[in-house]
Amino acid sequence: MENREIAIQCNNISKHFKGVYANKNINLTLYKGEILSILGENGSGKTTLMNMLSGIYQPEEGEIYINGELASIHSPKDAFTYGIGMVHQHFKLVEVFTALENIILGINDRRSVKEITASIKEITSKYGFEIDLNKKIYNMSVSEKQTVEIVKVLYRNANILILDEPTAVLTPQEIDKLFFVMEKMRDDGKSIIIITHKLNEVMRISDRITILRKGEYITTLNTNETNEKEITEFMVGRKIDLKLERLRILAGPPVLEARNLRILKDDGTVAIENLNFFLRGGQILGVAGIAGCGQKELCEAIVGLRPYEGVITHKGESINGFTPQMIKDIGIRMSFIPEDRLGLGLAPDLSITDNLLLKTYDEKKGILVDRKSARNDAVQLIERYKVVTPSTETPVKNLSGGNVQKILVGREIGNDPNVIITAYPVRGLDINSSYMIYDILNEEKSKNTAILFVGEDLDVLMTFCDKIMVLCHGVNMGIVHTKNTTKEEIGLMMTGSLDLTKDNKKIFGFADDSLVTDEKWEELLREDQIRRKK
Amino acid sequence: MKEKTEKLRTPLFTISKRTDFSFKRGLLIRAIMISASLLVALIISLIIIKKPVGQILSALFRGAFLMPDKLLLDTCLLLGFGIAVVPAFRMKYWNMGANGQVLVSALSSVVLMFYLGEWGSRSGLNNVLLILLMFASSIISSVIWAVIPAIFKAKFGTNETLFTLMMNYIAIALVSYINFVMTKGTKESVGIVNSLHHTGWFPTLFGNDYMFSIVIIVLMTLFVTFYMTKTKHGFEAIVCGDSIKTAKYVGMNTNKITIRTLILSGILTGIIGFLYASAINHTVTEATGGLGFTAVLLSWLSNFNPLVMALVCFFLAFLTNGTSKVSSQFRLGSNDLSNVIIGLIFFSILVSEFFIRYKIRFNKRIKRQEVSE
Repeated sequence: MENREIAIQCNNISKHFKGVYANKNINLTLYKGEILSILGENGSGKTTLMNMLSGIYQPEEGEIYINGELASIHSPKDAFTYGIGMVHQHFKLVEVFTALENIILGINDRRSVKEITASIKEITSKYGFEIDLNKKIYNMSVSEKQTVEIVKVLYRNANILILDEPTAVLTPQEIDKLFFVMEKMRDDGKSIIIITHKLNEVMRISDRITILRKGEYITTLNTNETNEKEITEFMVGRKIDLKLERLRILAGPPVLEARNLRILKDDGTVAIENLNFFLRGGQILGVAGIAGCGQKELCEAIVGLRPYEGVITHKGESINGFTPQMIKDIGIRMSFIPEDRLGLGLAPDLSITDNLLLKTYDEKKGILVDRKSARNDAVQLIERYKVVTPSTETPVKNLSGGNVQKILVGREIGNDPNVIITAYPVRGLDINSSYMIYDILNEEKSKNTAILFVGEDLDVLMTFCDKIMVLCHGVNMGIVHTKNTTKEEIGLMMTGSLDLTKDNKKIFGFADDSLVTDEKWEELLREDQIRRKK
Repeated sequence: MKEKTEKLRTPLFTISKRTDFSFKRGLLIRAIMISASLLVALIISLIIIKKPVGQILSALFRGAFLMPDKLLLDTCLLLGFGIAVVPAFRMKYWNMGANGQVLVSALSSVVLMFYLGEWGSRSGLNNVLLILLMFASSIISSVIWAVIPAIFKAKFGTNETLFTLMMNYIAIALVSYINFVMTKGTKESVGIVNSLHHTGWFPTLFGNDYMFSIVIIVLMTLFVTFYMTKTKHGFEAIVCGDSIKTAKYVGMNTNKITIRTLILSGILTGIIGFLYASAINHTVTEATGGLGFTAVLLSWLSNFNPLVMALVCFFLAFLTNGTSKVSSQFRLGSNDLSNVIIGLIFFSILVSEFFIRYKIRFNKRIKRQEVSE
């Protein structure tokens, strides 16, 4: 193995953003004519590393050698001169152009269209791509677009291909096709790095696997000498002790119950499929899953910001299809701490006072807003959560991430909620702010609030939540009690290797003591269908 | 394998967004830029007119302050236009249709004045009724003009900038058609309506034709300032402008807010149109309400601050009136000099916005370093 020619060699690569290491001392070796998988949870630094190889970021420390030469890659164009081409998860194509136009875009190729077409055809037939060069991008399926991206990279003479989650958007048949051309390219001596979360694909396609965790290099394994269990262990790491505690209190009856949820993403693809779950008062239900597997859409649907199929009830009463205003009007105090704080929860240009005013401005009668009491609330919130800010009138966008989150959480908790929906509430926060947020949530739990907690750090989910619902591409893989499970089990469920719902007679997500009878559920589901037909 | 490219490259300068906004620095940058543009304007004038600086400047000031009430009215009209677009702009609804709104509202008043003038002149009561009728029809027509694009935006997600721009052209065509109808095709414009018996003309205040308009626009400015800063409706509009998602998140009905805000904008431009027809011009031509685009620019550049807007408006009105005097006194034959100067000033304000919002750092040249093979 060691005698093979090396395509890329990274030594001790580091890069940090705002004081947090995204990559720390990463080592990576890619041989010529091999497929290397890069594995890691969200935030483990895979994308940062790939962006450094493709010239979008520059490493702060360490060296990259390409074909044995020290390289400095300052732009994607530089990357191409080194023969590195990246196919991003979100395609970068001009929709109104044809495949051919997209492929030659940006290259100064003075040959005639005929000659160019011939040389592209040569590439496509060599590796077995199926592509209609004169088709416009907007008429193409996702898989066709991906083919264009790959051919584009090959046409630029790339010998090293980086594919970022290429299978996430493909059907099983399309994946087979992709893997077929990948193998052909490998046999032709090209090197391929593939980023994917699906372990079965990793096992199937790659020769070696490099694992990253929390920005650090963990190990590299030969695929034929390892198994899914070992890989998962490396990925999630050994259990570490957190100062977190799970509040042990008796959970109440179900507060929120949801059945047969089906939710679409903005682009019309399915985010959540046939999901059942319930939230109890005084209980924290964690939601684990790889980024983009429907958590965001689930949260938005619950709080009434996204249409859905299926039924959601609150204390036995249907809140199906309710807007946030309607939910508020019938007296449900639902708090939502979204992932995108400045985009969804807060108004970035407005002051702290005005952002607190958002929740309360229409409670008072009359046509005027009551800034005075909002300002008092702001002063109290700043004091209670130790928010660092010049004044109550500072626009929230000028505050640091932790302080922004404190404002949002403080406002949402100040509402005295009975349901809290929260997604990645500690993302980007330092340790102290994170613990403050956990403490606040625990305090709310002790007040019998029902909490849905979408998290990314399995250690936190395991110690903090009572139960964990695991999603894999929008499908429920099972709901487990944290005291009866292991990180490895959850890791396997997240990657779709383990599906508890399959060989289990019990239907996950139905409360035994549901406040709604079976007949009533059926009626509600029928009503939902009628509602959607309108 | 590949030929070597330059290994270490640094661009000449890097532009980055400023995170530290200082009011003082902003003021300083603006002052420098505007002074510079005025200097350039003066040099251009000297080249064209070939007369001593003192003569040109004295003509400028005399021209501006010759009719103080005209200067004040021009200031207020600009301010009125600027204020009328503020509610929609704070919502980031880019209403370019202030011109058209004012045109149709002035048109509807002029039509009533033209056809009901005879009836209105019969008694004092009739005249008051006519003025009230004109006021109502001005506001209604302007609101319709403002709300049509808003409804399309709310229901079908159309682009309001283009839509409102096109509405302007429809209004212009409508004005020239109705003028044609009123004059039975004899003239391009109906001319000053009821110039003999002044029916439908707004009363003078302190014996001055313009005073009433000035007072009304000042009141309008105060109202909009109050509306945007103190009322729930204004607050909702600002939140929608800042983040439409956040507005939905807290349960606001964003479509309703859009339409409501545009109704307000329509009422404000309706008042201006009425003033044009009844108190200022007593006629309507395609050029009526031509201040709309200038107002859009200055409203945005003043960051919607009414006080700053008033100052800028005064400055512009001063220059317009002054330079037109300069043009006529030195027989330049056209008013183009005035346009050149005002263009220069706007350009300098726009450029200073760039320097206020962005920081430019010149990079030190690093010697190119060959990387060893």
